[in-house]
Amino acid sequence: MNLRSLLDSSHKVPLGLVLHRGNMRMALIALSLAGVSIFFVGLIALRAYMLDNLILSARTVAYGVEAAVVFNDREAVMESMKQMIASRPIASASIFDRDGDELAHWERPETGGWLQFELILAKILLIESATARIQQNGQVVGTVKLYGSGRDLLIYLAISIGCGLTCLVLSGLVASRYSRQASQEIIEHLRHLASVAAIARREQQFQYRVKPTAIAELHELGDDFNALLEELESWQTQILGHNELLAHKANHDPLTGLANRALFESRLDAELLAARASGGRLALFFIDADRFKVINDELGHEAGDSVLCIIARRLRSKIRESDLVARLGGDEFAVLLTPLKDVSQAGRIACNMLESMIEPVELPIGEPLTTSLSIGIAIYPDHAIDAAGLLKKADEAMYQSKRSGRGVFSVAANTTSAVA
Amino acid sequence: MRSFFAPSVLFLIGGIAVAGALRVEQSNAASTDIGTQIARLVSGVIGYSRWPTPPDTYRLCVVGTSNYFNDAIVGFDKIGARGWSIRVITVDDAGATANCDLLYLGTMTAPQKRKLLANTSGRPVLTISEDDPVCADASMFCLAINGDDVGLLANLDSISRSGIRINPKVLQLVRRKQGQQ
Repeated sequence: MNLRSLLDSSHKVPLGLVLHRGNMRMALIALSLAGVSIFFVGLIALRAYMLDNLILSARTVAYGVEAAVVFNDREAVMESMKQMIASRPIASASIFDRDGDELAHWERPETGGWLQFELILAKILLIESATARIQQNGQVVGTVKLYGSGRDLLIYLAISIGCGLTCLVLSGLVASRYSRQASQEIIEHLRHLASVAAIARREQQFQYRVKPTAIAELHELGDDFNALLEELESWQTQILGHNELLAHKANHDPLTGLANRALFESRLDAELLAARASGGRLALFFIDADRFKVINDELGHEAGDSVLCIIARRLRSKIRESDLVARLGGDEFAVLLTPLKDVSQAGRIACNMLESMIEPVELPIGEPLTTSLSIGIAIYPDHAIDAAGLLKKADEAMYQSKRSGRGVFSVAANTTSAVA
Repeated sequence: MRSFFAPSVLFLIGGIAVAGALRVEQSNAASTDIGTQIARLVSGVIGYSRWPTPPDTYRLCVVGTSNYFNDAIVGFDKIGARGWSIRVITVDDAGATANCDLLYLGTMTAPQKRKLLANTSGRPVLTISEDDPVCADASMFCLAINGDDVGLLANLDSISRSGIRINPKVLQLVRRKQGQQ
């Protein structure tokens, strides 16, 4: 079960992407902050270094050209100055004698558009010129003026940008890798949780549990989820139990525990349908306890109830697994025999039932008493082909039994057999 | 003066003496007068020179005819030189050089110059010739006056013989010129 399919995938963003974006943003911000601050610190340091360097260069030149300046040798001035500054980051240089006349001037040969750019950089950072006095024996004999070029700045800028980009790419890759790792674990667990939820929802299977995980919040979520599942499971069990109980109550007689009229009628309809389809037969017994009203009146309801319970137990003991005994109300019982081979089978069962009543009934108080039954039998499809018809025929047969002296069973269509 | 500047016999003689020529480049921008320039050069040379026993006062002797010397004296005043004494001696009074630390030679005949210079040999006397454009004579330094510009030439042989130690910076300049020649 995919987490994404649980959500509305058209508007929702996967967790992995959210984490990935977050991590990338973090990496970018951290790197930018660090990079920018290091860049500026570096720039400040470089500027100080360049200024120092320029001043130092000016002093070196001043020292180097001293003699040449003293002896007014322009060529020598130019040559030694060139020697000293050609390899240094200097854009142009001038040497003046003590009267301020220029003895020599040197300019870095133009190297593409870079020099202009270097000069602009130098200007921006206020590294322009440095001056040093040329002294002989404590006497000033001239000055050196150097104009710095931004060559070092340019190199620094290029290296900074290069390193910055490289770091950006590297940290992007690392961040993406780690975020994938982290999100993998989270997503794995969430998917597992989602699948458990889906099973619970679709199949009402509450016995599965979310596995524990190392991530605290997810673990907590899983625990809560498991607790919820447990509650759902116990609720479901309870509800099923209640339902069963209610169904039982709705379909059974509370006193004897036998099926009630409603259940009996629905069973009868179902069995009739089945018999009609298969061409089989079934028997319907209508049973009435003889002299029950007298027992009830003389010995009390309690005794009557006991008698009813014993009758129910004895009737039930005489039928097969596939048959059904029901109490229709008062002292009336009904039996459904299915499948039925022939009428004689029904007769045998009815005989057994009548015989089972010979044994006296033990009452909670007072003497044991004997009771008997009157049984009316109707056979499908011999006597009727529908429930109402069968019930009517069986009822008639039962009254037939009563009339012929109780303790007997009668089969519909006036066929009567007497037993003892 | 300028007549000597052209290639001449003297130049050929100068080829024998190892002359480091600190020739001054042509410049139209020279605004400082020659006297001041000479004063500066002379004081510059003194600044780069170390006598075996440093004199308390530099005794500067001027000999011969000088076109610029009067200007130079004004120049010395101008650059505010201290601790100098300037004395003019006659060309034939070679003995007078005994009390000189520095000998400024103006225009004179070659024998006169030879005699003067011979008289200073063996003593630490710094010699500067005004009138020797290729520095072929035995003086240590020579002025190279070209228009309004004054340069300095050096004669390394004379320098090494003089007993005065010249700052290597100067010698380097000279050697550079030698290498170019």
